[in-house]
Amino acid sequence: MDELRIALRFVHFAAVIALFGEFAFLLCVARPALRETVETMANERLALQRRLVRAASWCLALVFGSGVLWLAAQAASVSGMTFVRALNRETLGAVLAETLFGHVWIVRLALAAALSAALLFLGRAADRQDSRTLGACALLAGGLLGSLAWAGHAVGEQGTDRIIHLSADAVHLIAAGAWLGALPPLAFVLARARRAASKEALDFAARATRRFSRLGVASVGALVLTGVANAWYTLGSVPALFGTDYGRLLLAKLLLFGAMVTLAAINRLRLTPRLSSVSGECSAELALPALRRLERNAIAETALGLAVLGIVGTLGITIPALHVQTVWPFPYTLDWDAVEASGGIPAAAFVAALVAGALVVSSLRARKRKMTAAGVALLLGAVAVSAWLLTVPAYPTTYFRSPVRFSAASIARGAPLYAQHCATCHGALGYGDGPAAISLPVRPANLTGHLFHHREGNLLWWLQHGIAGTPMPGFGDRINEDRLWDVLNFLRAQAEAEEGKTMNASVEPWRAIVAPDSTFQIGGQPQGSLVQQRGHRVILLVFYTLPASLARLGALTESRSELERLGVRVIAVPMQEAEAIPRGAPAIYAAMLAEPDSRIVAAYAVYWRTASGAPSAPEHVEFLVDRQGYLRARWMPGLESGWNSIPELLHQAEVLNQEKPHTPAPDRHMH
Amino acid sequence: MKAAANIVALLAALLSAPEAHAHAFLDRAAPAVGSTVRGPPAEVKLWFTQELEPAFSTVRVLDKNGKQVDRLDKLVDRSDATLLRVSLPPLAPGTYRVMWRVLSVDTHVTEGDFTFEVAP
Repeated sequence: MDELRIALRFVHFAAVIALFGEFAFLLCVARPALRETVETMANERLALQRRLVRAASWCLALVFGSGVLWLAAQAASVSGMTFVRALNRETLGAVLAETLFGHVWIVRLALAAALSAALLFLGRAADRQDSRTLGACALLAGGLLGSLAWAGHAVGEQGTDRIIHLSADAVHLIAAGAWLGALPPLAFVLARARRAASKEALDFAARATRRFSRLGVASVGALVLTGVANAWYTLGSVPALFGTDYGRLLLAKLLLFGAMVTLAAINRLRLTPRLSSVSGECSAELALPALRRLERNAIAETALGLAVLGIVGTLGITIPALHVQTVWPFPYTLDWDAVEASGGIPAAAFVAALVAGALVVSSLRARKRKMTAAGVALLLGAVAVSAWLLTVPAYPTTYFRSPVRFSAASIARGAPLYAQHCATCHGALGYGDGPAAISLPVRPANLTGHLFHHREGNLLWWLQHGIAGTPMPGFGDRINEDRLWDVLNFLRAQAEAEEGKTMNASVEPWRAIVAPDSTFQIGGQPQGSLVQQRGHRVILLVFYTLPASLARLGALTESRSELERLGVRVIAVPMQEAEAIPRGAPAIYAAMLAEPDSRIVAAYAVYWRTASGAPSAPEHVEFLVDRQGYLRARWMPGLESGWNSIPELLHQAEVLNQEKPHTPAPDRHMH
Repeated sequence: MKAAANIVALLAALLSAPEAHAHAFLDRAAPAVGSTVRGPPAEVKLWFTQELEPAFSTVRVLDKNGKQVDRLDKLVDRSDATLLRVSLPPLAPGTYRVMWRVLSVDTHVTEGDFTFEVAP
């Protein structure tokens, strides 16, 4: 089934590109070139137009056939039926009428029908100069080609990204058509000129080649720019080029593209001048071999282009690299972070590279060979030094991104694993001072320091496989990957809690201490989550015990309208399940009482540590969470009077309200 | 040096992943994946990373015996095409499995499942 879809996509892309290329060639290359040459070339124009109608008709037939089969394959894919069984009116009708793909296909089939009519007309009137019909045909073919963007990954984006990705994709397709699609008619023109070998024919071939060359340069420029834009959306990162199926396919495509551009550069820089160096006075001895090579190169480029389209057919049904883990295939990688540790050397290498570049450019102009050699040597040296500086060891998981959200549930799963497997050496609070630490030859790492300067993928690898040369063992055989991500979420919470241990009842300048997301449920209302409140409300997250907190909850109840006015939502969670205040309790506002949830309590207990250590079990703690999801202030009644005064609490909420918004808190760890 | 580091950081930011999506993946759900709710929820809501094709996107809620218990009224929200929802009759306490299969507008089918628990 996949093979069928790939083959159909390949045939369809190739046919539409060839179709558009025929018109692009005639309008942008052949006709302007003919206009510049002498009158006797009238036959050439006729021959070209006849060829165009014939080739375009074949292409169009292929476009129709493969388009209809693609529709059927799509129907089979979405309905989960086999290809043959999906070929019924109901399924095909539903795809056409009710999906975006179907709507796009209706438009494209209509474009193809209009183009057939125009081609019929053009075929009957082949001896007339019919620029208008030709122009219309080119537009229709361009529409058929560009609209393929709406059948790809680009429509999956939303908002501005969707517009950018769709436009980039459409322009990419058109540019591919204008270059790759125009190669077969170019080869045709070159072959005719070579056979005729007349002065006029050679002159025409030279002019056509020059024009084609310009069209090619413009197309390659557009392909590169739009290709980068597309890769930004589907690839996501450079390592994905090597570590995912999608990336490796794209890499192969880039190599083939590079080969095509190399051939094109030879054509432009070496062969085309031979046709026209004696412009006007074409010498047949010089021009004919060049023509033959140009023709061969055009055919070779077409073959490479078809291979590219084979990859394009496969890419369309491959999950974009952005959505799969990048499995790094090499033992080393280049990492910019390594630069910071190496002082002024990278700057020196950078300056050396600049000097070398300038040397090479100026010496090439002045044709001084020794200077060029020196420049190239310096450049290579600078590259080598930079590469050596940037090279760091890497693991298969180096570029993994955590699939597990930074949430209270995950931290609560990680916490007992940490206590069981890690705390003996790394200490209960992560300072590297566990009871077993003294007996170890290497002091265990303090996990509350710079831990998350490391890539999370590397951290995962060390948890799975240990660290060579240290007593750190691997846990991959005992704890599965998802649970290790939980441990990493716990470690992140621990490191951020350490940074926030000085947090008090006054809102301080922003620090990246993310409030872990959590679901909560209030009364019979549907389950809510902290993340949903982002952008709307400041949250006062209250952890309470009875009877100690009763008076406090009463005070919050009394001031609920002032809190409401300032956009503060109170969510009160019991520390112990058994101590939850029953609904309908007098003097307590029911809409702030969340159902007991041990996970949110366990996760936020990580954030109870203060500058003087971790309180064993505080009776009451309150956090202010800002609108972007960060923990901003904390009140522990035993330590300071703080929010005992409700006006003080309201004042802190006001401070948050007057702040400029910062970047929303990431759900996952970002490197 | 600082400037060079900044340029490098900028390049690194440009080369790193944007928050964009192709193929629809489950972003979040209510009741949340793997969570416990007090009292029966009135419906299940699934938010995806991409807009869905209503005609070919389905969700079913099964009880522990594999019997479908939802009201067979799955629909893609009118105002938010990334939200798939299905309503539920009052459920007895227990574990329920949500199975989804969706077609995103970029023509790809994805599927998955998760459980939630209804506490008494």
